[in-house]
Parts: sequence; C-alpha cells; structure tokens
Amino acid sequence: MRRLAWAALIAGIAAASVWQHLDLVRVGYDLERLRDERTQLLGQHHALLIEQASLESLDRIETIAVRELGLRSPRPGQVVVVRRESPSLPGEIRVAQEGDLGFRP
Amino acid sequence: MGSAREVRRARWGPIRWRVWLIGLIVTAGFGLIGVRLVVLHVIKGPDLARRAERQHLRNVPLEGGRGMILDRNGAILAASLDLPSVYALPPQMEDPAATARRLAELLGESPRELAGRLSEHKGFVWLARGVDPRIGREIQRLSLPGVGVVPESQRMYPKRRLLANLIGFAGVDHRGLEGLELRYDPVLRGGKGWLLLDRDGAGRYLLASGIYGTAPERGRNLVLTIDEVIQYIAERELAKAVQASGAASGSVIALEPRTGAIYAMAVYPSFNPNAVSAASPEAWRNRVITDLFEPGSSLKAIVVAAALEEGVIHAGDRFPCLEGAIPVAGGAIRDTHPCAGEISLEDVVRRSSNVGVVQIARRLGPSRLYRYLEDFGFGRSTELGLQGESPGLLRPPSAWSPRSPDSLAIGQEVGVTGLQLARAFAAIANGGWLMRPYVVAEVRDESGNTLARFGPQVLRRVISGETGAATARLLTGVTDPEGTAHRAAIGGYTVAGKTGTAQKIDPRTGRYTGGKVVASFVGFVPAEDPALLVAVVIDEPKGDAWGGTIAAPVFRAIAQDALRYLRVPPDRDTARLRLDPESVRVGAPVAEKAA
Repeated sequence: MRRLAWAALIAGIAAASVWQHLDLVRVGYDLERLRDERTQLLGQHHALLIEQASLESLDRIETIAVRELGLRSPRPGQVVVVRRESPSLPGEIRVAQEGDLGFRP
Repeated sequence: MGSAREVRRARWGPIRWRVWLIGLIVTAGFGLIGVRLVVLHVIKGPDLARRAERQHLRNVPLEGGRGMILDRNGAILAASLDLPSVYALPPQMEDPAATARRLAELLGESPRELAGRLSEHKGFVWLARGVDPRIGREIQRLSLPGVGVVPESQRMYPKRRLLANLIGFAGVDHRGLEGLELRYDPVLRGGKGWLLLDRDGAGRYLLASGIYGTAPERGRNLVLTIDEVIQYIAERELAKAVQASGAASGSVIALEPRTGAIYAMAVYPSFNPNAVSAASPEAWRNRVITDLFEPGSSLKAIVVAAALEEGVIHAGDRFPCLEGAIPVAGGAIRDTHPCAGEISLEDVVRRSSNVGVVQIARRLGPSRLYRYLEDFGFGRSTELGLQGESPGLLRPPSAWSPRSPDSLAIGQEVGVTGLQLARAFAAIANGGWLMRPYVVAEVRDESGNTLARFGPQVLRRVISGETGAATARLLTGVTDPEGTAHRAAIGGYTVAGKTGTAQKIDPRTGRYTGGKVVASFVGFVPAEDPALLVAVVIDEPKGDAWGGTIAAPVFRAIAQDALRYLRVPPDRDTARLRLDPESVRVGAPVAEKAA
C-alpha cells in the first residue's frame, strides 16, 4: 500500500512537471504570437500615419477645396486677427550644441 | 607443484604477453584519441566552433528604420516604413519553375526570368524588396517551400516634392545621400539587425521567418523649424512666378527674424524624393544655400544701415542727383529713375538711387564698408550646417580695384546666397542682432522624448537697435506707392524691404550680360515688430525683369497668406479692415430670418 502511494506521488510529481513544462511552452508560443501581433499592429499604425500624412498634403487639399468644393481664399477684410500668437520659445529651453547628439559633422 | 606452475607458465606465457601487447595498443589508441580530442576541443576548439557556425548559420543584414523628419507642428515629412521583402532559398525548392509561375504574377515579373533566378546555384536570393504589404501577406499565405518574407525598412516622403531640396533623400542602403538626410545621417540612421538562417547538414537553409539574431533599432526623429503650411505657400507662389516669368529657377526663404528659425526654404525646379532617379541632379540642389548671385540694390539696405550706425548720414540728409550719373573709376554709375537737383535719403532708398548710395558709401569709406559687409555675414558660411553651403564671395580690400567700393555699394563685386541676404536683413529687422539661422529644432527618440533641443543663437550685434529701427523706417518707403516695390505692399501691414535687380556675369567673357538678371526682394513685416521675413530670388526671368515687378509680388503673396496663418494682426489702417458685411455671413440677420 505504501509502495503504491509512493508510486502515485512520484507519478503525480512527474505529471505536474510535464504539465508545467508544456504550459510554459504554450505560454511561450502565446507570447511570441502576441509579440508578432504587436509588431504587425505597430507597423500598420506606422503605415497609416504615413498614409494620413500623404492624404493631408496641402496640394491635394487645396485641389479638392478649390476644384471640387469651390472654396476660395478669404479676401482682405474677411479675416480679422485680433491677437498675435508669438512663436517665441519658452525660457527654460537649453540651447543644445551639436555634440549633444553624440556626433560631430 | 613446481612442475604444474611451469606447465601453466609454458601454456599461458605467450598469451599473457599478447594480452599485454593488445592492452598497450588499445591504451595507446585511446591515448591518441584523447590527445586528438584535447587538440580539437581545447586548442583548436574556438576556431573550429566558429568555422562550424559559419557553415550552418547565415546572417542576413537588416536595417532598422530611419527616424522620421517632422515639421514644427509634427507633420511627417519623411518616414521609414517596414515593407515586406521576398527572398528564396533555391536548394530547398522542389520545383523552381512552378514556384516562379505562382510568384510571377504577384511580383509583376515574367515567369521565365523569375525561374532563371530561382535556378541559380545560390543559397539565398532576394526576389523583391519593399513590396506592397498585401502582396507580402499573399506570398506568406501561399507557404511555398523555399520562399520567405521578412519586413525591411523603406524610406518614404509622403509630401512628395514639398521641402525636397532641404530634406534631400536616403539611398537604398538606408544612408542619407543629400540634404538633412545626409547631414543628420548619424542621428536618423537606425541600428543594424541580423536575420539568422540555419543550414542543415546537406547545406539546405531552414526558414526562420521573423526570427532575428539582433532586432534592428529605429533611428531618432528630427523636428524641424519648418512650417509645412508656410513651406507650401512659398513653393506654390514661387512655382507660379518662375513659370509665369519663364525664369530658369527661383528660391524663397522665410524665417522668423528675431530667432533665425527658418519657416520655409523653397526651390524651383524641385524633385520628388520618392523617385530620385527621375530628376536630374541639378534639381536636387538647395539653391537657397548653394547658389551665389550679386544682390544688386538689395545690398543698399546694408550700406545705409552701416552709414547710419557710423553717423555719416542722418534722416533728412539730401544728396545731389548729379544729373543721374556719378563718375567712378573707368566710367560712371547711373540711375535708372530720373532725378533732378537733390534727392533725400528717404528717396535714395525708396527709389533705389545708385548715385545717392554711392555717395553714402564714399562717406563710409572702403574699410568701414568692408567691415560692415563682413559683420553682416557676407563672405562666410551662415553655419546652418548643411553640406554644399557656399560661403559667398567678398574679396578683401587688398584685392579691390579703385572702382570696387562704388560697385559694392550697388551690390556688385559681391556674391551672396539667399540665406545670407535674408540673415543680414533679419539683423536690421530685429534691432541689430546677427543670428545663426537654424532649421532643426529638436531631436526625439522613437517614443517622442526630447533628446536635444536647439534654439536661437546670437552671433554678434552688428548695429544698434536705433539704427535698425531707422533703417527699417527707410525701407518701408520702398513699398510705398512711389517705391520700387509697391507691389510688395500688403493692406493693413507696414512692409519694409528692398528690391534687387542684378545683371548676370557671362562666365565665358567675364562681363555683364545684357539680358540675364537676378531679380530679388527681401522684406519683413510688420516693419516695427517683424514676425516674418521673406527673401525671394528669381534667376533669369524674361520680360519686365525687375525685382519690384517679378520678386516683390511673390513676397506679397507669400507674406499675405503666412501672416494670416501665423495670426499676426495688422499694424496699420485697421479702420479700413473692419469686417466686410457683404462678404462675411456668420449668421443671417434677425430681419432676414423674420422675412
């Protein structure tokens, strides 16, 4: 009886070990698949950003606006700017030198 | 007993000797094997391991994507995209002809040509690089033996021609070849990666799709000071002007005069960096920084600023007209506009009087004239840092002829680039500070974190703020109705600027040609607190070829749209700029609604 119990215990441990190993392999495959999927989705996102940039080309937009939608630039008097948006840079900006980039021309 | 032992010895003696011999041979054999093992594993081990690795592993180099180039608002101007590349391992193919037939249509190649490539005695062959992602997926779905697909980085310019001459382009090996792509190649270029392919004992490759020895690393992003909208406006108006005037080429630079940040750098003719080989190398040139020209009358603004700074002229001064011609060494310099009696300083600038400005330059003297031209940055690089930038041409006084000071006063005998001229005018506009122009604002990593930031840099002060303001006031006269650049005037804004029309020198004869000119206009607006400076240079326009007729309207068209875009309010005549009720319909009036 005792021998049987020992045999069952050893078989159980062996089975658990095999199951754990198989599960590790399965999780590894899942991880790899998800990593591939992530890479693919990032690539798609990047491709879509480039396509968006291409579609936002101003020559294309102006052509559509003028030829298809019949829009035109506002005449003097149709636009009144009341506040200037200064492009000045914030004070905390440190002026970087080219050496900061890790290379010199 | 003794005899039994002798009998045994007599029987076994020769056998024992043989056993010893065999034992010795076996031991020696094992000893040799042991020595050989030590030699192979310990002494030659590392070298043999390397050789074995070389035999069964093959590294296929892969490039990490180059970083993006963005405008100041984050619009993508250049980016790398991972596109599928298709490769073949011919030794693993069972039927190269059948494989070629299935791939030919997808890759747009003839089956015979493809089959020929698949039958080559090579272990690895690229079939197509950078194909459409849909085609890549389709080929992967086919699961053809010996055919694999890996992602490879390709350079794309989604805005096509926009800013092409500044951005430049990168080659198929992912190295920058022109423009910013070349200058900032070490920043933009990603780290190399390797695709590891394993080879079995028969020398056949085992496919390893997507398994990298080292994953390639993406490069860093550049954020420019360029504004896509202003760049587009500049390119659109420049192209119109060059085409309408039949000119050979043209360039425009727009910058923020207080900081030296470049908003736009337009060149015509240009090229599409997505199809570099379709354009001639001539079109790749960034003429704003490479092409030299004599500025002509544009330089008078610098001469007047220098004379005001030195106190040799003052507002209200008058100069004799000399009947429109002033004697100089070897002849005379004449005015193109009629003048009688005297001409005021304001009119010297407004009407671009050669006679007047030569007298001003003579009051200044040759050495001070040279010093100011040098201080304003002529004759040396602007330090923008791009390859191919010309330092310009400003000869030292020791190399001058007796006529040189008078010629320099009217913008001859000096070669400048569009950027140099713009920067010198920016110093007048911003109160005397000569700025280092810059086009790269930031370097960011892939996640958008800022790694380095670039800002305005003052090189030196060339004139005082008062002189700058006084010169700017004089330059506003140029865009008056009587000025040479009345076509540069913009309703509601005071525009300061100067026209230039310089004859070109024939390189064969070394003399000025009759018909060929460079027409230019440099202006800033609003004159007292400038937000924008635009320099327009048109090379060899035909017909009525003057800076005021060819270049000034381009300035107006660009500045008008750019000021509206930058939300710069008008600085004068605002009463006339009240909303026009006829043209603006925000909502229908109550009475109309009731009706």
